[in-house]
Amino acid sequence: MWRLWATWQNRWVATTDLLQRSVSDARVAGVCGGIAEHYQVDPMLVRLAAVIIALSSGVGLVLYGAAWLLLPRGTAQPALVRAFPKVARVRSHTWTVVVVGAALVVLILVGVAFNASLLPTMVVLGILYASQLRPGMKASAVSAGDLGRQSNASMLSAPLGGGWPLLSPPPGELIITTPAGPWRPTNRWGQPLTAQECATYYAVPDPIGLYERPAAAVPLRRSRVIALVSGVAIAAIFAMMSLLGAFVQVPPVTYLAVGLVGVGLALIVGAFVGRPSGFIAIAVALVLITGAVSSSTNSATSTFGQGSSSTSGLPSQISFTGDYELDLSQSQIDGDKTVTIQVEGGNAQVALPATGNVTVIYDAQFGATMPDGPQGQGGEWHRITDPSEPTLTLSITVTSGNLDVTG
Amino acid sequence: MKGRPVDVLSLVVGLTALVVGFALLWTTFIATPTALIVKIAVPAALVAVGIIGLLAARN
Repeated sequence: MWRLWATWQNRWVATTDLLQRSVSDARVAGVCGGIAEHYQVDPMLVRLAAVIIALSSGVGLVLYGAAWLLLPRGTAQPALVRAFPKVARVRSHTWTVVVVGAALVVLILVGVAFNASLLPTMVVLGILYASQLRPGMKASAVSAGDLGRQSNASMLSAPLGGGWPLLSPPPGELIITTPAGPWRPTNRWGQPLTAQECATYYAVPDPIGLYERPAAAVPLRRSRVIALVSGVAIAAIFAMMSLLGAFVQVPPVTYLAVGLVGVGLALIVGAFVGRPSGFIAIAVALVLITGAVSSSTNSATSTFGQGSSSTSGLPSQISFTGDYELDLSQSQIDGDKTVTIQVEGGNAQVALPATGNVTVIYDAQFGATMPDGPQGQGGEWHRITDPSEPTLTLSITVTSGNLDVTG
Repeated sequence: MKGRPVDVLSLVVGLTALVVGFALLWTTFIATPTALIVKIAVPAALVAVGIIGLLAARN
């Protein structure tokens, strides 16, 4: 039954030019690679879109599974003769402008109401995308996979600077020009490879390091170090996300901070072993977004929760991200009232009513200061002037900040 | 003596990202932003980054 299904798929592929799973550019099942080849777009963009859709309620995983089952497996199309999208040849400076511009557009669209659940995903995807860019690839090393990123015409008509290995002639017997001279690849029995066998061979990017000169170990080392640093940064971001799932408050800006540290380390390492220009773009974008998020958090301080003529007008629940200030010094306590205040990622400052009964139940990570002096991280504070009068109860929780109560 | 070639742009941007990132983490998890950090420590660190970049560019 399975053979029948495979035979039908292969016949379908042979007779039509329909969407199919890629063989030469497959990470899992070749679905994203096949889509990229079919529509001539950057496969990394397709994979990023797939990850975003997968993280959005998981519908992407179902779609991927369906595509895996329904799409036929393509024939071995060699990377060397594949017409690769033009986007792979865009210069690093252009990438910098594009990434920074996209970051600004996202920032403007999302604005102050930045979705914290989306932020870590964006940071992770940015780091992944930057780590995949190769604008800093030096001319001392190029592999068959990289040759595949050149268009057909440019590859066959002009040498790739510095006498890179060329495939000549395209049909028939294949002769590879290497720095050590021409080389005719053979199979395990010592016979010359056919064009189809060579095509299959070149579908694997530089499988034995054939095209790398002795100095070509540098890009390999760079890629390993950068992959390690990126992996650590991404692991830290996911660790914070898990903390958030365990009800430990993690301010959104810390995701950006961890991303910045990871990208910064990768850039410093890359400065000595290569030029990871893709990380420059993502670092600039992260710094811009971080500055804007921090400033938007602080600017909301003076416009929220300023004063109240009577405590009955206060909401029962107040949640705020950033520095929070509540001025009740001119307010009158006109009835028993309990207000729960939750402040994340900033300091809280509360001015109590000048007269009346007040109870403050506080929990501040960096400590609290009551009207009678500094206190610990948590506790209760009372000011009972007349037990027969109504009482205002404030339950204040400050995550990642100080609490300063005056009055 | 000529040292190993260094990509100065990557070095400076990387150090800057490191300074900003660690400053944010410090003020989030260890201590609140104080004048010492905001007005002295971070600017001093960025100046140090600039000096390092200039020194690296001389090679």
